[in-house]
Amino acid sequence: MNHRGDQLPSFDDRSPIYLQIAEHLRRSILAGDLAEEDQVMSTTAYATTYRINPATAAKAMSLLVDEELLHKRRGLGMFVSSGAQAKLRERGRAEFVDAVLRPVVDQGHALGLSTDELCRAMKEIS
Amino acid sequence: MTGLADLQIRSVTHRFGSTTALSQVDATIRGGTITGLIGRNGAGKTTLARLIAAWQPLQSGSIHLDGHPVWESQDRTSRVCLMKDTGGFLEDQPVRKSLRVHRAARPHWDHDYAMRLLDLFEVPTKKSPEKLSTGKRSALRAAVALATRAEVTILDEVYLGMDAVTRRMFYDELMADYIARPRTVILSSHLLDEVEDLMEEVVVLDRGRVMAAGDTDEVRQQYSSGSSLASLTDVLVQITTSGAER
Amino acid sequence: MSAMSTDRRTTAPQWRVATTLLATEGLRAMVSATAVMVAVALLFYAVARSLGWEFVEARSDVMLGVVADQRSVVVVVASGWLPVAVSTAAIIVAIVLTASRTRMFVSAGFTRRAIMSGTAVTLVLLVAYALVVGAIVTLVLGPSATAGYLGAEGAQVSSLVANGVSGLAFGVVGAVAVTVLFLRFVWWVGVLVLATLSLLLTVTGAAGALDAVSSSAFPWVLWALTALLACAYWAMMRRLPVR
Repeated sequence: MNHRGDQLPSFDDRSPIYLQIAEHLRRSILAGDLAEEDQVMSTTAYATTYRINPATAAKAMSLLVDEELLHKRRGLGMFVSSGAQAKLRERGRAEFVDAVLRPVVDQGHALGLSTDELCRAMKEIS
Repeated sequence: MTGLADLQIRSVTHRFGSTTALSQVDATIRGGTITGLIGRNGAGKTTLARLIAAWQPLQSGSIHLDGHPVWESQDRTSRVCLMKDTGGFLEDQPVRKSLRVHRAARPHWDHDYAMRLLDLFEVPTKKSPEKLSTGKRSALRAAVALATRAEVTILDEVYLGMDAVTRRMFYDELMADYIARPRTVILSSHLLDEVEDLMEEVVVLDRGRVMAAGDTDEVRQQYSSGSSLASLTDVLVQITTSGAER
Repeated sequence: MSAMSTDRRTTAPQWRVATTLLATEGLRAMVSATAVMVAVALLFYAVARSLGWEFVEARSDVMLGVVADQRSVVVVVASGWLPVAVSTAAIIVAIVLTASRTRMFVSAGFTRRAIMSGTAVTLVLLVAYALVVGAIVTLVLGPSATAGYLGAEGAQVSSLVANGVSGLAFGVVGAVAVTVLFLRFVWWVGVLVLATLSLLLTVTGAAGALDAVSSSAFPWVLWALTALLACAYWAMMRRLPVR
């Protein structure tokens, strides 16, 4: 039973806990801490570790199942689906370009930098 | 989901003399969930709890468990346990005697579990409840409530007398037992910060009316503004103060 | 999930469980009370005899009395004192059981019906216990010992039993009904009802009228009153609120 990726996060009260659990799991999958077919911490374990209702963890799992990142194996628990990391990368990339890169480019342009100058600057800092 | 029956509360109105304690209360407590019953003092939580447990006859409306009224139905009254911060015990008799009654009355009573919990909370069974300290009295009630393994267990401020450490021990025991043997738990507490993450669903009462009900996260989201999620305290403050302005 | 199965037809009916709980508690209390009374009586007898006091059997309404002058002390005792004391204990036990356990049982999940049934059977057992004690005393000491204060003409066993049982039944049921009155309503309602009843009884001379009733009808009057009180008990219990 592989439970890697369990450097336990702490949850704050800024957003629903189930969303935070889901986000943490996504990050773990993306980072490779949770590999394909790795078992995810059970809802019971989440409940006892964080003193939350197991249904909260179940909601997070259910969300990720809908996103095709996790799948359930009857009697065993939740496992990372194959291609999950790839899916997350793809989604992440698309989101990154839209949500992160575009504002950067816009701001660069606003400061008078041309696209080439921006590329040069990126090369320098990489 | 767990196969446990829902508790259907329909149009319950209750008056004590000229005071209306509950007004057209409609709620469904889903079987197998931990549902919070929250509200300010005098909101009607205890009245509703007592009506659910058939401690008081209904004046109007209905409360059904598994499709039938709880009132005077031995099949159902034995499956609903209400534990408050007072009552429920023979005050001047050793705790053991009260345990004998609960053991005989509750179909799913687990005596070993009861003894283990009483030991954990350091409640002496040879003493009578009236001779116990406030903390031990609360612990006694909490322990017995858990040990009844009643299908519907209502905890009405049982942890009032407990110190913070005992409360945490209790929450841990509650969750552990709930996970291992699901039951419907109705939790009424003023210590919202401590229990809000334990509740899957919540019913918010204000002056006898249901102001919000449903998934806890959704209710909290409903009353959130800005970037932070509202706590149940925030929800309650908003609900009750907006009511006062009316 | 199996532990939470809603199919539990295997559980015993509640009235039987309630009966067992109440009856064991009640009879245990009666046995203790009897033992204490007998022990105290024996002790008293031993001490009194060692002081040279004399014991004489009472003839009429006296239960216990002491006649003393310079020369001697004479203790007058009705030889049937034990059945009377046990009957009094039965009434007290009935009150205490009802007062302490009625609401607790409701909160433990018993239906009010089950509690009523359990109480009824327990009361029957308490009366039966007193009857047995009375029977033993009568067998040992003879019928005249118990006859006097039971208002029975002559020493007929049947009239003794009739009077005794009806009287005690009236006593326990009345006591339990009054107890529930205080459980059901605010305390001053109970006080008001009792005060009104006693006032009515004395003013209308009903208490006096009871004396005039022929001894053969007396038990029946008591049974009728007992039935009335039982109905009152039922009426108050069926929707008894628990705080």
